[in-house]
Amino acid sequence: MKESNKINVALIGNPNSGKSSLFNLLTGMRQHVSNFPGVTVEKKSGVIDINGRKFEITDFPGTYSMFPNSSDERIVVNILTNPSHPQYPDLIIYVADIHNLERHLLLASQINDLGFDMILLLNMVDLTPDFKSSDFLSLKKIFPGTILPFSTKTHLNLNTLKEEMANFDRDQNSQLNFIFDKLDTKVLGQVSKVTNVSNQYFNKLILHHYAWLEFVTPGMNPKIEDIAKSRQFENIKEQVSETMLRYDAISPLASKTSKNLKIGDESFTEKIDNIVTNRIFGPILFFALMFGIFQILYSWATLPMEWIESLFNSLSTLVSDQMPKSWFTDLIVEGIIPGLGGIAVFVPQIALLFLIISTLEEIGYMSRAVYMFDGLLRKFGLNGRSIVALVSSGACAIPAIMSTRTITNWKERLITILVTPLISCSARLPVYIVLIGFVVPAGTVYGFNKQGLAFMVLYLIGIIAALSVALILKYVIKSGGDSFLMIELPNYKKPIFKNILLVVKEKVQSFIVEAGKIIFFISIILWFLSSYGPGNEMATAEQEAKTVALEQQLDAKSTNNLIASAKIESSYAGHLGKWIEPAIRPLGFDWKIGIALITSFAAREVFVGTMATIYSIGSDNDELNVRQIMAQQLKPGTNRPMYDRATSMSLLIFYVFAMQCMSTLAVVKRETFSWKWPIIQFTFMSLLAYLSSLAIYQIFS
Amino acid sequence: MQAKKRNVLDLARGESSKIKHVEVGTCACKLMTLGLLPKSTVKMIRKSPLGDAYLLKINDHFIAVRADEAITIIID
Repeated sequence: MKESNKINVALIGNPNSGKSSLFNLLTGMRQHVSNFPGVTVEKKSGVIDINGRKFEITDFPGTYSMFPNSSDERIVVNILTNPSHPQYPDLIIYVADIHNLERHLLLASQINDLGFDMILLLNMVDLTPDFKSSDFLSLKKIFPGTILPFSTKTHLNLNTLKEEMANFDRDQNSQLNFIFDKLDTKVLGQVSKVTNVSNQYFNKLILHHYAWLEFVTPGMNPKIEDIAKSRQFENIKEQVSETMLRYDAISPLASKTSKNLKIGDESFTEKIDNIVTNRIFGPILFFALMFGIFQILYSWATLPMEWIESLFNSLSTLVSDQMPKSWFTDLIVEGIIPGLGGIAVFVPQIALLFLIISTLEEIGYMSRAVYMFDGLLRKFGLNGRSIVALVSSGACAIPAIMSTRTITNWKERLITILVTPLISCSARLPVYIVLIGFVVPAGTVYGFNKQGLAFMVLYLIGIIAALSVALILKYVIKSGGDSFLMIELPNYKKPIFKNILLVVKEKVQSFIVEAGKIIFFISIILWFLSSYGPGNEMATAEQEAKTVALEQQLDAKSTNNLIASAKIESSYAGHLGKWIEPAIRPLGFDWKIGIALITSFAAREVFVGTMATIYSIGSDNDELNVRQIMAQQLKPGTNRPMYDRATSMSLLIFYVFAMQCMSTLAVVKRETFSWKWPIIQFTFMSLLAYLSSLAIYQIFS
Repeated sequence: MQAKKRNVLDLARGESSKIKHVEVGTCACKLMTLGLLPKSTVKMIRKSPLGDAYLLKINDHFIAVRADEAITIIID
């Protein structure tokens, strides 16, 4: 139920109309991101107070027309034709780019015909100093409501807009001035009898979209279908002819309004595009840019990541010093704080990545990359728009998966989400560093560092796997919806940093909150499993380890290490490791690696720490030390090293393919709104990892 | 001479023409909302580096379309 004293305001407009800037301007930091009920489309809203009246402002997805092409646009149509929807607007603020009035007024005229109260903003006036406000008077013919020249940059008329909102009268009826072929009025009359709504345009939309509109109940559906069939209603043809009719009405007025407007930057844009989208330089520039971004991500994020780690470490120390010794303190110090630290440590990378990507988007570069790679990616069941996700996943799959929201075709978006985690992310790095040394000896080949080449091969395997799986999914997933490219390449422009910072803030926040909840619980479970064991097995193991340590006269550090490893072996996690050992033995793994596999389900980078604990050298994460100790391990009952070439290669391949990241699964769940897809993803990635490791080990051992 | 309907793909690189109409189909409305309206000027900027996307200039802004989308744009 809607609060009666709160006024629902919808911000509607085409993509690139400056709608989101207006939203940020109106709501400031008081915004809230959630999802439109029941669908995967993000909903941004904020409640503001103007002269004592409360307005809930909702930023609707960018929309071109009431004949939608994407799931985003369908949301808009669904809400605007469903008066009982909680977001059904009392007032619409329609944002149009004054330089593109002809195109941007199409949807405005459709909304006007639905009888909504509408304030029409002619945005980006700041870019056209020649603009005279008398110029837009002719628009009144079609749009009887308030029309304001506006600028989200200079805040021109922002106060007038707020006044208009404050004086908004809910009962006011806007004048209807239909611009569409009334068809046979009888047809719409028939529909009206079914819907009980008198607005003719509303009924026409019902006739167009009855198959999927929420307003149409199962009872209404067959009746409307009957009308459509008996009257031979040609949906697509009608859409096109209505669109034409509207443009016929809008174009003369729009050209009159914008006749004085000069857009200075389009030839500039064309000149830049001669290089940026050049058939040869374009892709080269793209890859150079990506290389640069990864350099930045690896180098700039390292320091803040270390700060966060040491912050959480000192937090652990502080808590364990201040609180009495108990299981509860252990849970906080060994379970919850490291768990939360594990999330927080990704924040610098996520923030940086989104800073860079939203800057590229604000400038207008990303749509160029989409255009350049659409053809290639489409062959793999992806969309040109997938390029953004594939690029980002080299740093971290989580922001990459969040960036797929721009892909409107559900199947293409889903495939992108499902294959993105196969691209090697930064969390695999420590694992690769530890293991590559066992497979490839140091040295050079043709002047290249051998281990460096092996590194590149691992990344390449990930990329090839992502594209191959995409290709398979293309034929497996049956989901309707046409695939389009049709994308606007906006003129290059200077980025507005406030917008970028808000995007970064919102992404980081949603990552911490949503993924954090799940990591929190799983880290508690993992802590429990590795801290407790059945019966008093762990106490016994500890006693035995102490005895052994005394006998061998070990120093304090070695004693502690021995105890730690004995305890882990007898913990539930140790039992789990032994339990899965038969399954992983064909891959060349023993129960100790088994524990590492289980713990690194939480996050891959846990591998090194677990190895360190198990091989009882304390978990000080010193990779060289871990490697030395691991190199000394022997296969049980033999003289051969445990980490020989076959086992190490097998383990490496396992980490390339396996889905070992709870945060990613949590985000996939959030983006696909069910556990179905993360489970499928987990299953196929695990299978791929298992079978590849099996093959590698059997061939090379 | 022009018995056959010409579409955007018949334009050489850098060549411009006026749009007659967009053929009725699933893309038609979307193309029109991107500014591909009758009497607009369309200029072929270039083909994409990989595959079959085309960069077009419509009056004073830019869009990219696939070949199967471009083929429905009928020109003079």
